[in-house]
Amino acid sequence: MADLKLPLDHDGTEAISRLARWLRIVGTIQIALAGMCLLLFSVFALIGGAMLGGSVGMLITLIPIIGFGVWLLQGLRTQAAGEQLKNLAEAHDIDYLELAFTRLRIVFIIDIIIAVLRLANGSF
Amino acid sequence: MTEQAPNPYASPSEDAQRQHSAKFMLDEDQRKVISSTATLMIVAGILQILVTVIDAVSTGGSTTDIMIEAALFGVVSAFIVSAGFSLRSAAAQGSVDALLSGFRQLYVAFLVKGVAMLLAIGLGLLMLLLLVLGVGADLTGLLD
Repeated sequence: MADLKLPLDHDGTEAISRLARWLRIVGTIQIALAGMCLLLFSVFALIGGAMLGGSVGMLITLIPIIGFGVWLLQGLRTQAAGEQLKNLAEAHDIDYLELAFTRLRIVFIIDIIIAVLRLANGSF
Repeated sequence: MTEQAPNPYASPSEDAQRQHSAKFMLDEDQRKVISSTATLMIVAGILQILVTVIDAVSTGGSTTDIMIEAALFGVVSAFIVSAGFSLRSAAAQGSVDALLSGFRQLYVAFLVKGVAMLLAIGLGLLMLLLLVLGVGADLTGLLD
């Protein structure tokens, strides 16, 4: 398949570079925060699961871990999308555009899930 | 016969128009990926706006709290929805202009989100420092 290029001028390249930079910043912050929370809750889960005992106790302690795990995944995808857009700004290769959007798809799917859960939580 | 100097104001806009009316080629799979992601952006943004409005109405917090929440979540979500529409248009028409417009709106959304996250982390660290200093001051008082 021939390498298709995106016809970008200096302004266009700058616009994509700026977006790429902030996607990487937000992704990195999210990874750091989610990673710390995941670590803390894993420790609490070990202690709490032992105290509560049984499968119910373990399930209760697993819920925040899964939540922070998903948040970590969103951070990773956001950062990865930023990397692909940085490559797009440098090489103008349309394949990087597709790769960036594939990563962004996960980011917004997670946003939708979080919003639906918040709506459900609010309605109860 | 005098020669008219070229209009310096006409050239940049002509160049810009030529560049930004440029099209880019996508294959069908690429078009689907971009279009579906843009649709997800629109849905995510609208849901987030809905959540923000319901939160603001139901919790009945102070005006400051509502304004902060609206500024953060509302503004970010509004720009994401707008970016989604631009990017859908870009995928359908192969328009570079629409693509860049969508990216600029997405940039604003992530800029606001990033700055808010950095401010929250900064405030958290400051409170931690004050807590430590407060504990430190208490210990100093005990030693005197």
